[in-house]
Amino acid sequence: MKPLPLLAIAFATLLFGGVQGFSQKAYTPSPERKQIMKAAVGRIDAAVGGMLQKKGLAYNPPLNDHMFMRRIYVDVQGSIPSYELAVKFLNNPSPSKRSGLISWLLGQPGHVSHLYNYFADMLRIQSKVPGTVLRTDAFSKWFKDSLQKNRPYNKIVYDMMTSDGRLWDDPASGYHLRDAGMKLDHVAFMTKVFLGKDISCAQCHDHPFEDWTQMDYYALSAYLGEMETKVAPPKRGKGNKGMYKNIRFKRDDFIPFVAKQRGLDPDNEKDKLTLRRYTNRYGRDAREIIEANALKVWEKKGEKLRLPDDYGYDDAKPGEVVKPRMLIGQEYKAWKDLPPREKIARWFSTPQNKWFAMAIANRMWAFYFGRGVVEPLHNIEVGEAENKVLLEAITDVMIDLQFDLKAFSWVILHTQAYNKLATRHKVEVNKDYYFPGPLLRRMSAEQVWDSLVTLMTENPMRYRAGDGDNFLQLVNFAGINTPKQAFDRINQFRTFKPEHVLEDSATGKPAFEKGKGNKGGNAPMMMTRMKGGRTVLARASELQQPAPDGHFLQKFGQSERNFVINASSRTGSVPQVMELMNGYATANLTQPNSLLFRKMRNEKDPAKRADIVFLSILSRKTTAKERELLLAELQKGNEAMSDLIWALLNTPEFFFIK
Amino acid sequence: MHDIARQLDEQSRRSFISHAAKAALGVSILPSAGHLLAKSPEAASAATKAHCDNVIFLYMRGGMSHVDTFDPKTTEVKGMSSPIKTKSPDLKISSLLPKLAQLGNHLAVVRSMHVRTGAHAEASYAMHTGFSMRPGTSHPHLGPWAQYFQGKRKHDLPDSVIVAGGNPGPGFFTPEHSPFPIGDPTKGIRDLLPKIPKHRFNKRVKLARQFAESFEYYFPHQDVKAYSDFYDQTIRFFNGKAAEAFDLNKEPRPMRDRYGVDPFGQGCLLARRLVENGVRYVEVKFKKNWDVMHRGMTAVEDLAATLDGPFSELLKDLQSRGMLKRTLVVLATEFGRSPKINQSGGRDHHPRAFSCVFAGGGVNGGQAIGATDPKGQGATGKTYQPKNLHATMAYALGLPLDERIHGSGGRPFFVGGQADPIPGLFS
Repeated sequence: MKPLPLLAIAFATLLFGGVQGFSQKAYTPSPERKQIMKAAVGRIDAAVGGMLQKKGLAYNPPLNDHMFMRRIYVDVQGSIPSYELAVKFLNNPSPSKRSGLISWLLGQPGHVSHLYNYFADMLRIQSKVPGTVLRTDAFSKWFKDSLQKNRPYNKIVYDMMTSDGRLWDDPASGYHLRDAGMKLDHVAFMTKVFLGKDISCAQCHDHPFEDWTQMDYYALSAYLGEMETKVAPPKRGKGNKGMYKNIRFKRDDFIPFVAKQRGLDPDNEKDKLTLRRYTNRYGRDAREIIEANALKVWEKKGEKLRLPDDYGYDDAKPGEVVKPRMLIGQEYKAWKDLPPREKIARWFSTPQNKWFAMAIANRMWAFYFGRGVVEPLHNIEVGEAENKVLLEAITDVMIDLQFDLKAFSWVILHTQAYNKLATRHKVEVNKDYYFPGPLLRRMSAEQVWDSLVTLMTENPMRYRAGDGDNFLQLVNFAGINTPKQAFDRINQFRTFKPEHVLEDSATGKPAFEKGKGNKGGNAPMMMTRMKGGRTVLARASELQQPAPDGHFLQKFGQSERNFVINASSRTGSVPQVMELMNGYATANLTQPNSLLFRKMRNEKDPAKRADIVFLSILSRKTTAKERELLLAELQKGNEAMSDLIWALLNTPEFFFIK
Repeated sequence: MHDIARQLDEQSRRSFISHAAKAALGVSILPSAGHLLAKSPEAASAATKAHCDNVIFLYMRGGMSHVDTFDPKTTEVKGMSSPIKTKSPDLKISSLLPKLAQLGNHLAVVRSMHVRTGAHAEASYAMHTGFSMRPGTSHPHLGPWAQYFQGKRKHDLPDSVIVAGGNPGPGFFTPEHSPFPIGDPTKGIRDLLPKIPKHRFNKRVKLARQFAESFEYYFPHQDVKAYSDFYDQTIRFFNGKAAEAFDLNKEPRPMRDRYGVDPFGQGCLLARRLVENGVRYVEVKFKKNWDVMHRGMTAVEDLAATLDGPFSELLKDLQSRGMLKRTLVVLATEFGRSPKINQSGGRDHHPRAFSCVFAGGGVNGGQAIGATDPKGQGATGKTYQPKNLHATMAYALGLPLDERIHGSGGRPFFVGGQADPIPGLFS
């Protein structure tokens, strides 16, 4: 059996391109699928074109190469192109270079990072299961890997819904564990995200404006009736009943070890207080770690969901057991003997469930156009959809492509509508829109940050969050049976820092090594002091989820990922503008040894240097008018160049997607 | 913006947008004036009766022990303090708060506060918003509510500021309503100020404006326009009073010393400075933490002292500047602490009954409202919820408690959650 692991590693290396961890190739679908994709572009073009014609409207003007390149980079890889890649594309003489760029970008890790941000916002992913110490890197990594391998979306959802065990048994369990202990809310999020149906009002009463009853809500939730997210969940009550039964270590168990470690005498009155303070911390850590071990998705056989005690309708009595029932349509007879959670997972993700396909098709459309075919995304009213033909088309395309999200993206990115300039005026959410082009959008917080990281570092995807296995091994208390073992493990646990999950994709090794502090990083440039905190120059998807208070990402409207799905915001604010004017990234980029300045080093002609700055920041060259404006200015050297960089970072053209 | 606006019915959308525009454009209008035009006479009269102009919200992080502070007892639960007389014959507070006792005539202590949960995050959310946490909804703090109803007060200053209290955002209002977050009161906004000479900064701004022109011309889009407004606002910020209003170094040294070295003290001083400059609502969060159930009772003495000095200095300072009458100071916390001392020698979470304090802003001081039993366990009469606290603050500011707002999911919301203001505070 010994040679097997080696072989497996070699195989994995072949498959996933070695230490990079991901394939760097372009997205290449099978010829059969490519046929379907091409036909789908035609169908969507016909739907949009037909509608525009009917309304007597025309498409927006087309995009030139610069505009196309900028848009496609920002929309597909989530950041502006680097100077080198921009030049490479613009100098490429091939007539099919646009389509080639789309396929190439869809295969890049940057696309995974960008799409992950979108889903992380929807699934409200946080670095820790809220209220616990359990890090969820394994789930994030699993989700990113699923996107990179381009697993069908309905399979990803099915895996999340049927996940089982602890995070280290099944990383997909992070989906249910996110909402541990709040089952009914979990169901409300589930329908909003996956079905585009908002039934949350019906949790407490029949929905005031729609058909959902409180019974509908409970009947759907009843499929999760047996699902538990904690082992031996604590029961309310007095005394021991309110505690976890299996707490194995108490504060006082640690007294001898702490006394020895600190050289304290348990019998000395003065030492006693100090000792108590230290042992308290061990007691707390033990409790928190054991609580993290209690997080597990499992089925408690025979457990039933009951109606609330204040249930006030005539069709059932308060406290009565609820029979599971699908929200729309019925269970398939063939599924009769399946476990309830298996049934609901299948019902959600089956291609026959049009709601599911429509919700994701509409979301992906909005991802690229800045607006869904129908709005709001989490509560689709088909009856009210002005663009019914288009809605039907994208839903069918999603099903025909078997939930292949890259193929679906490829289709959208090849449509006529997408390849037009953004609409000049604001389109109010309550106004009909027929997609003569995408909406003008401010970049998302993540797109702005990732674009700045692209300007600041050679390889923005170099540092990536790993699966956090090093953390899970510390927190997994299986086999920890004596207080001494627990004491030693807690000491190890305490040396763990969040940055230890970061890996250097260039070497395949951890970016930061334990015990060496921040200076132990392989890339000291990555870490820098900023307002008393640290900033890792990695893409948003690899940082703390969501970024901490005061971080650039937070100021620019990254979602709190708390109680609201898609809570990210693209609106301005004063602190945001202050950050762009005087914050860390701008300061970094305007100083004369920044990457941007280094790229200009070999160029003596000020006009050409200005072009490097323009191409790097705005993905275009200077216009005649701008050259005139800069003429006198640029002779002044570095200071003028640094002012120019500052000015371009502070123009709407930098952070709007046109 | 998106989520909320798209949920609104036509009429509230229109009124919402007009409010939003008012906030976004930073238009300085008289309190309530713009708002009252379309309102019924009753709503108008309710809305005009403001008792104060400003609110300073002092938040005790972690759950302040009521029996050790504003609800002292003489029974076995008394801990290390005992009740002492204050300047008011009708009020006794803990001997751990001797300086506040000197100002007892200003203090109205509500001793029968109650929250439904003993979890920090949930209870703290309720005390900050007046609502329980609900998935799918993000409720605003009082600052955004006030800005929504009364418009932005100063064009070169934010309407509400949160000191050391994170960045809670605007709730279901548009981002213009977000409280301005300040991490360290002694630093203020220094990190965000230009670090280059003024002429060079202005040169850069001019250059940026020139480069923006063609883009702004091609996209006469509201969102682009909003950004140029935010740039203008920020520049007004830098050129105007903001930099100074946020800068504690502009306070004389003795004044800074009076408030003490603890960040909470400096935060209180910053709050006074901001309100003096025209900020309507300032929250100052206690930097230390009252969550000391494992640390025994000695910690409480230190915590009480850290509160006693700055709180009393703030009241005296406001009074000597003639601002106390128009500035409501509220001291709140997420829950109390169990009167029974636990095995570790500390006190556990106690949401059943605890104390909050009101001072200034037209409040009838020198009294206790509500009471707990001799062992400090439960209220002896009516209890007040976080929503009552919010209704009280909103009422004091003259906000219309009966005006319905449509938030996310089309749900209706009222400032203060349709609860009654706590009676007996205002005459």
